[in-house]
Amino acid sequence: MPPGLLPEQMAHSDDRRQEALAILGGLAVTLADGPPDNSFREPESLQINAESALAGAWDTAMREGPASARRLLLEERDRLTQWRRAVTLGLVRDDSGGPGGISDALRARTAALALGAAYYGLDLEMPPGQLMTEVAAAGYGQIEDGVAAEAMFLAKSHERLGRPELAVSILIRSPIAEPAAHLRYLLNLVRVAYAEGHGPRLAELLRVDPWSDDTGLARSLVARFVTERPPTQADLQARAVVRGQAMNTQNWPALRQLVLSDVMWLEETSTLWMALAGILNMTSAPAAASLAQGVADLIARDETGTR
Amino acid sequence: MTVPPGYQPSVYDEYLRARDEDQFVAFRLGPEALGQVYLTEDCVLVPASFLARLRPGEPVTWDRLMAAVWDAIERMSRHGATPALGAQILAVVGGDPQRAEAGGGPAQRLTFVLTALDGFRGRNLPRHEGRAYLQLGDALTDMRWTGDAMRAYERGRATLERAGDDLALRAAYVRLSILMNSVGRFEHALLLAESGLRVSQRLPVTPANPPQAPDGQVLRQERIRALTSIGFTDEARTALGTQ
Repeated sequence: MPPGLLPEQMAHSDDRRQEALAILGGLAVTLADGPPDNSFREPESLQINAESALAGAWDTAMREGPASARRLLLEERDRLTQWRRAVTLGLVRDDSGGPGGISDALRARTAALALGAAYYGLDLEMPPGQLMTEVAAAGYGQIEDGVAAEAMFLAKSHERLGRPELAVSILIRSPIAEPAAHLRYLLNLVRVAYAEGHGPRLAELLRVDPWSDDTGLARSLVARFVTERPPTQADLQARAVVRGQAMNTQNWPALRQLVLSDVMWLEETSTLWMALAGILNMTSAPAAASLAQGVADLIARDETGTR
Repeated sequence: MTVPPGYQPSVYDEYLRARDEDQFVAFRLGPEALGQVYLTEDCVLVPASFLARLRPGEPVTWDRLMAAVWDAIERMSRHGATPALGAQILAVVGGDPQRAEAGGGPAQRLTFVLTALDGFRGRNLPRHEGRAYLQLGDALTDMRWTGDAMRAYERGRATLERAGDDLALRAAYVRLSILMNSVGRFEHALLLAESGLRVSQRLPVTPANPPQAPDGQVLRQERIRALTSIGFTDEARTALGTQ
C-alpha cells in the first residue's frame, strides 16, 4: 500500500461502499475516452508519475503517431481520474499529511496528462471545442503552474477555430511562462484578427485592465493597430525623413514611436526588434527593452534556421 | 394490434411485447413532451392498475403520475438494464428529482442515471443516450463534480449532434456555456452560447419549442455574460438591447 492512502471502510456501511463502487464503475464506463478503466478495486497500487507517461507518449508519437500517444495519455488520465473519484467518494482516505496531499497531486498530474492528450488531439485535427472541454474538465487552469500552459492551449484552439480575437483575449490576461514567445504569438494573432475585421474588438481589449505583460510593451504595440491606419508607401518614405530628423535631434521619444509602429506594420525581422530594444533602453524602459531583445533573439534564431 | 394514427414507435414497444405479464400501459404526454430534455419518449409506462383506480373526471397530477412511473420502475428493474427502464428512470430523475434523491441524496440520483445509461449503451439509441448524458451532467453538477459534469455534457453534445436531436443539443450548449462561464472560461463560453443560438435559430416553432423558449433566452444571457466578462461591452450592450 502506498503511503498516504488508507482504506476508509470504517466510515462506510457496506451499502454506501457498494453505492460508491457502483458510481466509480459506472463513471469509468460512461466517461472514459479510452477503454473503460475498472482497475480500481482496493487502494493497493497507486503510482503517480505524469512525467514518465508524457515522455512515454512522446516516444509513442514518434514511433506510431499522435493517435497512439493520445490514447496512452487518456488511459493514464482515466486511471488517475478514477483514483480522484475514489478519494472524493471516501473509498480511500488522503492521509499523506503533506500540503495539498494526494488529492492535489492527483489533480495536477491528471490535468497535465489531459493537456498533453489534447495537444495530440490538435495534431489529429480533432474538433478544438471538444479538446478545450477536455482540458477544462481536468482543471489545469485551477492549478497555479497550469494556468499559463492551459491558456496557451486555449489560444491555439481558438486560433484553429478561426477566432483569433478570442485567442488575443485569452493571452492578454494569462500568466506568461515565456515572455518573448508569448508576445510574438500575441502580435501574430493581433495581425490576423485585424486582417479579419476584428479591429473594434481589439480596441475594446485595449481597455481591459490589467494586461499580464507588466512592461506595457504588448499593449502599446497592439494599440498601433487601433490608433493608426496601415502605412502607405508614401507614409513609409515620409517616415524615413522623420526618422532621420529624430536621429539628428536626438529626439528619442519620437524615434521610439516610429520604431514601435515599424515593428507592428512592417515585415517581422530581428533587426527591427533590436532597434526597438535599443530605443526602449534609451528611453528608460529596460524591462520592455529586455522583452524586445528576447523577441529579436527568437526571430534571429528562425532567420538563421531558414537561411 | 391496431396502431393509432400518428403513433411513434418507442423503446417501450419491445418491452411491452416481451413482458406482457407486468401489465403496464403507455401514458401519452402529448406532442410537446420531448421539449423536456429529460424525457426520451413522449410517453411513460404506468401500471394498468393506476388507470383502473382513476375515477372519471379525476385530474392526474404530475406528482401522482411520477409516483406511478416510479412504481413501474421497481417492477421493471427486475429484468435488468433495458432501454425501457432507462427511459423510465430519466423521466423520474428529471421530472421529479426529489423522489429520485429521497433516502439516498444526490449519489442515489447519480446511480439511477448511470443505470439508465447502461440500458441505452450499445443499442444505437443516440437520442436516448445523449439525453441521458445531459442528466448525468446535471447530477454531477449538483454533486459539484464540475470536471466530470463537463465531460458528460460534452459527450451528450456530441451524441445529440449525431442523433440530430436539436432540442436536446441546444440544451447541451446551454449547460456547457453556463459551466464555462462559471469557471471563468469566457471565450469558450461565448463560442458555446453562439453555437447554441445557431441551433436555436434552425429549430422550427412547435409545441415542444415555443417562441421565446427558455433555453434560447438562457443562451442569449450567457452570451451577454461572456461578452461582458471578456470586455466586448459594445456588443454586450447591443445584445441586451435586442433581447
